[in-house]
Amino acid sequence: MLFNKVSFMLRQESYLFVRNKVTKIYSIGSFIALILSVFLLFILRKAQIPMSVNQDILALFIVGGHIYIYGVYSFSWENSFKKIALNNADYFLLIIWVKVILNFFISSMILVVVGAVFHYKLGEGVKLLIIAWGYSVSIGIWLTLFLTSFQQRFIDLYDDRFVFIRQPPVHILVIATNFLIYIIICKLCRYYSYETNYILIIYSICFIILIVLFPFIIKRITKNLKVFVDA
Amino acid sequence: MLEIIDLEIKIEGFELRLEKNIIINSFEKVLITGQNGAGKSVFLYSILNMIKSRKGTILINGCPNDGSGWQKYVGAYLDQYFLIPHLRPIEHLKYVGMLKMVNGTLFNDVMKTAIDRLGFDVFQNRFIRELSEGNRKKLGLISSLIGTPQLLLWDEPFSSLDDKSKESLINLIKDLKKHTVLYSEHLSVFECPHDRRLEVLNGIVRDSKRIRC
Repeated sequence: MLFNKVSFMLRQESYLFVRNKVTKIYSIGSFIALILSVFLLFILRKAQIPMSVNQDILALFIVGGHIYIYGVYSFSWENSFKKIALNNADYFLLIIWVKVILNFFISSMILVVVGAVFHYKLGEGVKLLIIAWGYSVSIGIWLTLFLTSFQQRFIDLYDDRFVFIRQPPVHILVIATNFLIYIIICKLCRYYSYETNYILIIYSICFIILIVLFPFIIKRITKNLKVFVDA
Repeated sequence: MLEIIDLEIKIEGFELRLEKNIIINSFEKVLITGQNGAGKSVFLYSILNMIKSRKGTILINGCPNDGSGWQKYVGAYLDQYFLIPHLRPIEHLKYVGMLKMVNGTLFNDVMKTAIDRLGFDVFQNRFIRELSEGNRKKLGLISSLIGTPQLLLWDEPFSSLDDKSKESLINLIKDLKKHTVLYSEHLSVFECPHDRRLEVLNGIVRDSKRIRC
């Protein structure tokens, strides 16, 4: 039953991306940013330019960049869905998990494709992408959904209006916080010379912290997601 | 079915409170009347806990509306944002069916109601955002019937409907014997089928005398 619900919801999400002007522009924009990031990272690695932080951020943009825009805006454009569900907490859990699963598949797919290109053409740079992927599918998506839920914008899907074009502070905070935590993880990985064992230990610690905070995160997001109508 | 106790709402200078507690019994048809801006919609939204009340309790079938469990008893259509604009009517109905875990015969019954009673083609190949206001309203009313909820909340269900559809809806409300219906309307109280009337006046919701149609 849960599987049916999740697959049904995934189909609804795909309808949104194909049929709505706002989301269509977002998807195309994300894809262009992804291609540019791949190209830039490739050049930096090929020319062996020592810009490690830039390379880390580019890797995150490639594998997880879509989650920021997606996470930041997705809760906003779902006001209709939440109204229909009458603010049901079970439904909120469903939409959260659909987003986490969707992010996992998109990030993994990008990792496989871009990783294969890097491995074939450069013979290196894949570890950088794997670190970014690990961040994106674990801490990145949860942190983004958590922070985003604190400030939702009304998006008029009927008129396809860009009412959210003004960047509210929470949206900037989402990106800044993600970058900060990710760069700390990358610095630690670099400190230990990208040894696989150390990378696994670093991510295991992050994962434990995430599990400990998990009940609080879920509770807070579902509370924040409630629709309150302006009178 | 519905108990509203000590409700008090205050939003940006607008206040709404009850004259006395309201208890709505099962299968009652309740009409909410009042002038534009009187607070009829606010009252309906507060029942769905989509407007924060300053104080008071609302119980739907014994479940407080700020908790969970009450949603399965309720079907609502208060504004067009209860519809998903980029879906086609049948996709929307299936979506609501999925949320309420309704399919098969029960789902088909609702579709039959849609086509027979309100004359709405649920299989039309247009997105909801492309439908006329009247058709959106019909679709919203139909989708609120999915899962045969015990309590139906509608905000001005007759507005934007043509005369024939209004008549069909009046007959539909009369035939909803197994539902409690709470709806607001501007039409004359003599046109709207109701067992009881709530009047919203100067920020106070009062129970008018019972009229049986």
